[in-house]
Amino acid sequence: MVFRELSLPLKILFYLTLLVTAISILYPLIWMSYTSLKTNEEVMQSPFGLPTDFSMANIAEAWHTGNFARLYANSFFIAAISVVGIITVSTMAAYALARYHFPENRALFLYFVVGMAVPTQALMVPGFKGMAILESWAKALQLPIAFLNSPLSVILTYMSWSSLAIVFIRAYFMSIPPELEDAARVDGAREFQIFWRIMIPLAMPAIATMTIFYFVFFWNDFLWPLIYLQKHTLRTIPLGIMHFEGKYVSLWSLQVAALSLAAWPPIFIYILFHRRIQRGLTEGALKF
Amino acid sequence: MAQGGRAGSYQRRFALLLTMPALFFYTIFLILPLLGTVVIGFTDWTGISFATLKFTGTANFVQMARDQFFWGALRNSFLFVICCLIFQVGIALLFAIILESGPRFATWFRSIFFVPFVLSLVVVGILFNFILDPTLGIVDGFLRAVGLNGPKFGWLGTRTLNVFVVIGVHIWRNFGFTMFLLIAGLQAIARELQESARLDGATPWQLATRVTIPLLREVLVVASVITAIDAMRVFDLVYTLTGGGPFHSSETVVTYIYQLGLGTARTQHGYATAIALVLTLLIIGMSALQFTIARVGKGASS
Repeated sequence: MVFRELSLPLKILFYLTLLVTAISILYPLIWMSYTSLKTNEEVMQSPFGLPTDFSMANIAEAWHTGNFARLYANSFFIAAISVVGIITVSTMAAYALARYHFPENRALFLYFVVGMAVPTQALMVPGFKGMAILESWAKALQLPIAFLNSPLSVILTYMSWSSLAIVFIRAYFMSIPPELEDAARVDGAREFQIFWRIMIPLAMPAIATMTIFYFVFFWNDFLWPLIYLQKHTLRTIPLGIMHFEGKYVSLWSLQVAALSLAAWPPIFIYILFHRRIQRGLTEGALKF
Repeated sequence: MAQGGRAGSYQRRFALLLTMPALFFYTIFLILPLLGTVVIGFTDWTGISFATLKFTGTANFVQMARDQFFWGALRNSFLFVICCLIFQVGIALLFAIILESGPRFATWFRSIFFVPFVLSLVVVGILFNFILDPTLGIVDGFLRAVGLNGPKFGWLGTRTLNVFVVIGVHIWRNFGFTMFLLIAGLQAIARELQESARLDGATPWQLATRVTIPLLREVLVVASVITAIDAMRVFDLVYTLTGGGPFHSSETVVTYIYQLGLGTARTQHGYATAIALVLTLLIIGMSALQFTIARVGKGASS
């Protein structure tokens, strides 16, 4: 189909559909943004009108009472550690499975593939109980490690979701021609050097795609922090705004300001890196 | 398969060593809970210590068959899957084809449609709580302005309606992503085939249904499977928009598992896990079914 060859009514219809859809996406976000600049009285008098005088007071108050500095630090800490962890272990495993003939190769690969079919939400009860058991063992051994009410439990859970990364990065390693490493072997390079110096740099596009994919996923995840992190100082962004909205029900402008604080940074990062993010999320899913 | 290394014993040890860390986390924190799901699902565990754990055979599954809230949740989850397969994939396909045909501002529209997907579901859920608010929300405000009234108990407070509203929000957030998957598929299709069909005088409708969509089948299947699984696993949106209520009317399978196992009730671990087991089998069955249908369809047409 070539757009400029369509009949005029069809063109108009298509443009209108696109435009209405775009507005349905942008208007709620724009409404959210300007409402967070209004006072509460103004919201009650005219819920949809533009603010008469722009005030940052709500944004500032939401930032402090919602403890957003803390929420951002927590979210970033959990997502960053989990992503670095999962990408590291997955790249190592993917390389071994892609480039070495060894007897256990096939079985190991199939074992990892099983994880792609498992809905992780289905594991919430045994997952929680498992962490409780680890906690009691740590207590019995008098180890200074906490599992419950600790970001550790969330990070460990996330780090078990390596199936997709392994399948994706393995496929990329397999597409790299073997001549390079054969030459390096002839030159006397050690296995680890070949992996670290030659293969990882070559696989960077796949590694970057998976890094974006997992980071967005972990950043937005709600269920596992909800299950494991009851202490309010440990809350991540989704958990934090969830509680914030419950606490200040009658103060619309303040609630909306808190929502803006949670929504704008990801949108801003998306505006800056939209092409990479679009590609990262799409390619990751298509490997499914 | 593996092309590079020879199977020397040093190389074998090196390869095994490299897989160990991933194997460790994956086995302890995914496979063990998965096995736990299978075992605990057949017990009456109410979850204080293992001492109280008793195997009850299929009792949990009998209870499930009689539990009207479970059936309600299952019905809602299937509504989610069916509506998303029809509308989310449908809308995404329409926009993918339109945008790939080269209208003005195509990249702008594409990028805008993707925006909701980078927002967390919790942010989207809370945003729509405001938008759908019966007194101060935009939707009801607009309806009042044109002389209409929204539903009496609100969009999210009215039974049977609320599920469809949550589905609508889910589609609002995700269709842009599905569209990107399909655009990636469209870009991989041979241009020449479409070009020659066009020169042969095919109408846009014929071109879409006879040439483009059949060629797109593989990506369409993948996108449908992702959409269906996503819809079956929905939790965050239901939790933030309705909390499963009023009176369990908008509960889905995952929110029901949460309610029973870890939510306010927090005690019915055995029963909740039995439902989780059913969910796992449903999701695996659903994706297998879709891939099979796709393969049969392919065999029939070629």
